[in-house]
Amino acid sequence: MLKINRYFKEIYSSTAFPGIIIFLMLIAINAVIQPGFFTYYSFKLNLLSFTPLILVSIAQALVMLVGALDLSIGASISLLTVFMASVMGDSPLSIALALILALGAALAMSLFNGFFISYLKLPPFLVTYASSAIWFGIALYIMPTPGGYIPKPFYKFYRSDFLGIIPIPVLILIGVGVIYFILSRLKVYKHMYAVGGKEEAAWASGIKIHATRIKAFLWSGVFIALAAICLVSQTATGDARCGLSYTLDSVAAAVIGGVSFSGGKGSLAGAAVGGVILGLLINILYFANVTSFYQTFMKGIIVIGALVVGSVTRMKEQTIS
Amino acid sequence: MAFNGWRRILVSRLTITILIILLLFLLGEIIFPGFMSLAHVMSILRLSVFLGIVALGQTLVVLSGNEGIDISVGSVVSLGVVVSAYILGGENFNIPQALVLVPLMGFAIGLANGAGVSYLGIPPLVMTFAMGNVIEGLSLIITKGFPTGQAPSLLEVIGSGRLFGLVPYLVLLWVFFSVITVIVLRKSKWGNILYGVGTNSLAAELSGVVVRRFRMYIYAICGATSALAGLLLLSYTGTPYLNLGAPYVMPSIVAVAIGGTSLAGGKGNYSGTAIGCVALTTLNSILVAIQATEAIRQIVYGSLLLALIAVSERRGG
Amino acid sequence: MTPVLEAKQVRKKFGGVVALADASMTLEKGEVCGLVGANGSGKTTFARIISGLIKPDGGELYINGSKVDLQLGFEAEQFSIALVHQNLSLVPEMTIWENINLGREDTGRLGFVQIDKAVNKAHEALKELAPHLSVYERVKNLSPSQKQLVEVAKALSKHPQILILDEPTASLSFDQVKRLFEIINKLKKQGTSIIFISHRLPEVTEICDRLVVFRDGCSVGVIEREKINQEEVVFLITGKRGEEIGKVKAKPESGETKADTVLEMEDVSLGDSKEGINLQLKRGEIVGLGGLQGQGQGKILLILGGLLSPTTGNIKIEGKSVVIRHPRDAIREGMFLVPGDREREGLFLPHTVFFNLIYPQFSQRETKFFLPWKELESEANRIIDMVALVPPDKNMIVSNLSGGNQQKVVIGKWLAMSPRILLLNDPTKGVDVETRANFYQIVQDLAQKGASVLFYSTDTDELVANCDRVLILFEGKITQEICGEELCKERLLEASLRGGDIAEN
Repeated sequence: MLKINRYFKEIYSSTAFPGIIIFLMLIAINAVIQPGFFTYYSFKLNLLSFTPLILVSIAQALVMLVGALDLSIGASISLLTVFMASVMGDSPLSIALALILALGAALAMSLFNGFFISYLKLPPFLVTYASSAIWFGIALYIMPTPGGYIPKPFYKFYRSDFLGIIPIPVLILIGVGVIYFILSRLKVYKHMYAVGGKEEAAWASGIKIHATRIKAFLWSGVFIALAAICLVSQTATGDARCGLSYTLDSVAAAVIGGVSFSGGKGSLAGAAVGGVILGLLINILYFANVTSFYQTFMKGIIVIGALVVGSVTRMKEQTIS
Repeated sequence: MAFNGWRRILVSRLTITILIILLLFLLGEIIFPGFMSLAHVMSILRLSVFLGIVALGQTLVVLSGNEGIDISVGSVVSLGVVVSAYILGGENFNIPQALVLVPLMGFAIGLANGAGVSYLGIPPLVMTFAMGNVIEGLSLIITKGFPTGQAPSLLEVIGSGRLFGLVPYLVLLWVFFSVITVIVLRKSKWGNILYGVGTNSLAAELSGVVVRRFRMYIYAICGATSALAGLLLLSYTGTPYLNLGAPYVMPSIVAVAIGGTSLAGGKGNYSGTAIGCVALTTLNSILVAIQATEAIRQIVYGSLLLALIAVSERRGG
Repeated sequence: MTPVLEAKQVRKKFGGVVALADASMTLEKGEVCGLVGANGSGKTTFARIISGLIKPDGGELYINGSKVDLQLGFEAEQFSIALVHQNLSLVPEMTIWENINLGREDTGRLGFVQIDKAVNKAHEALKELAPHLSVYERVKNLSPSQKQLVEVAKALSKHPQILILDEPTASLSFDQVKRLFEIINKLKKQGTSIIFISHRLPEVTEICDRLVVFRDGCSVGVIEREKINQEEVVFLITGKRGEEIGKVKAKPESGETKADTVLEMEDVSLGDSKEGINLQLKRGEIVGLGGLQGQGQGKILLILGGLLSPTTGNIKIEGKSVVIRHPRDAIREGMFLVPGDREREGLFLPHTVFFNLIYPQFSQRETKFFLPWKELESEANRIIDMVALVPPDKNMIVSNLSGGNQQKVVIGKWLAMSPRILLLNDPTKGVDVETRANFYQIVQDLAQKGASVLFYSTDTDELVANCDRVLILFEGKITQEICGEELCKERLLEASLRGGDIAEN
């Protein structure tokens, strides 16, 4: 009995709690605004667009946990879509090749960022801003205008249903859940929290700081690759600019989900919830027939609102000095 | 971390940056003879003014600590351009009005940023990002996509004219602001309070500084300078366009960093930032001049940035 | 018998500063060896080197007779050495059990962390040191003394053969120290060898079999148990005999003169305890806040200093009611807070001594917009003289000063502003003997000139040496007042422990 009580207490005081409340509120609003929100059709439609967002939020959260930030996520995803659209052909071999290439490239890019940030100790903000320019440039070079080729079976697959009932994105999210399950039980996961939370404590406990950070970046790269694969299935093209909005959205989602900038605080699950919340927000704006002029405005206002709610809740539980 | 003699490091970083600027100009001269002519140098300096003024506010915000940063500067500049044009409507007698109202508007926006950061504890990165979105949307809403208005003749003279046919008025204005800023930062009450707040806000609080209020005003000043930069930008372009401020956000932060101000706060000055602005603008000019495709420009810009950062912003071990 | 540990001529420089010049020691199995010395004498650096955390510039290390290559760097675990730092190795956001297992998590098949095993291990380690603490508590919610105990538990859970304790008792209450010593004695019997680094000479005298004295980066002497006496130790630490240090004088007769009440707190409370605080402070008095640690003494100072707002009650300064919502209000009344955590609360480490000393004046209304540098500089020099800063250089970067001198800067900045009331919040934690004497002198001089002092300290000797009277606090209430002839260490301790059940922090 005590264990359950403690479990609930953990949820209540967890960083994701304000996010969960907002999440429930937004579901309610969406249900009202979007026609047939609870129907299977719109549920699936939402999932298709939410999934990359969720993946990207988790990727950002991983990096934030170790005290860094990745502003190149959007450019990475764009570059990955360009790679895939260039390499994929109709043969299963080329598809497999493209996927492997995407994963490899994502890991390489993460390694690049991680190296400059951890070993050279440069500010993450600036490093990833610079690398995002580089990835963007490379993507533009390879594909100045959106194009490339994604074979029909591939992108159809993303929109189809497994066994006719379960949408593929759901499978993907379940897969993500499995990865999370594994990751959260690894030693290195706890080490990430230590490195981000109080680096000298990690050092004094014998944790290898650089290795842990690099691993965080690499795991982040995995999620980025997955997000790119989903995105390229959705748009069926390679586009050097398609990922742009994902960068700042990933940060917003992670923050809404309770992940702290300074590191060592927050959970990946929270970030995922944050991603869903953001998706719901975008949804609301779309279905409320808000003109595109108002969309950015409203997005900003809502994010500020979410932050205010989050901080007020936080201040309540804070003890003075 | 011992910062023994950080002034010495700062001086040498300044020298490195100046050297880089000279190198860039030499490079430009080799590719385009005449690049290093006095007139052209002045043109580039004039281009740097806008970034310079935006980076002024950014420097103050970064100095204030708490991982201070202002990503909304771009959209505030854009709003400044559009609102200035609207108020001025091409008439000279509207200039005083614009000179007061536009920075005031920026001040108010900055105040909101500062309130969120200081009183609600929202991380500056996120708060200013969200605000940036809001202001960007606001620009669109009030102009409905078509900005109206025009810079009046007098303002255009300031924007495009040169003293003695050589030194652009804008550059003179910038030098004026820079000198005041550097002096105020180093020699005045406010400047020194700022350094303390940025280094250790708790110690500053215990020494009697009302840190929350102080920080809020810093963000307000940054908003005001960004809006002002928009007004000056309008004096240069004459007619308003949307999103003119967007390209200034990241470079303003980079200029602050390579100019020797620590992103953690509490150390640095505007002089470094100003020189950093010139360096970045020169780099950009060269890239544009050689008509590199956007792809090449981005790659070169990004790589050089990385190199510059690696050289100038080594965090302590 | 080969000593368990032997270090020879260890040297280390940090940048231009020599931390260790020539340090040697031997440790026998099953003994407690104390390392004593002033701040900056190299004890902590030495401890970190022999536990493999830092690489030295030179020197040799032998563990159980075999040489260890110091240049290669080693993990303390390899040689079963555990180092307990000053709250260095705990991650605030994580729970106690996570912290205790940090870096050494047991993994089962598939590399998954075994949570149950980890929790048990933590529980075992913690239960003797802090029996009422749950291992599921997050470290950030713990008091400083609890954190210290968790640090020790973490080291103990490694079952080391060599245990190095660096200032383990700095934040602990009397009771907790007793419990710690019991555990140390038990470990001794089990064959663990212990190095005990501390400033607190009485403790060191009680628990150690042998003392190694450090001064200026060198190990200058070894004292066997029988020969340990405080004067001898102090001599070795400072190189000076007792009288030369300027022993703390007894307070000169303040006589029966009726001094006015400078500060009065009436029924002030934070809303948590039912009774409010009532106290008076007269001009020229030094009043101590005693009692067990964490009984509310700090809170009183924070309220007066403007960091906590009381929900009830009245504060009067020289008879006039004042509202203090921010340090600014307190400063305006001439009431200044000298914090205990100097790095976090009292100093701008990367800046110069000058900047630090002058800073509070910046926000005063009277100060001109463009600062009068000449005046400020001469004022800074004056203060540097007054506090006997070493080195007396106002352009010195504060982070390069020793801890004791840093504390002088912390109090120095208030000296320029004519303090009326000085609030000392455990100001000499981790400060060496000589600097403390300096410090007491400054405080007493101020009191003589008419300032009043409220002095919170966890060190009873300090309270006895400096205060006219001491108020004992228990659970946020003032339970007793001890003054005059009764004012001695034993009486203070007794009074602290009375007043209800013994408080478990």
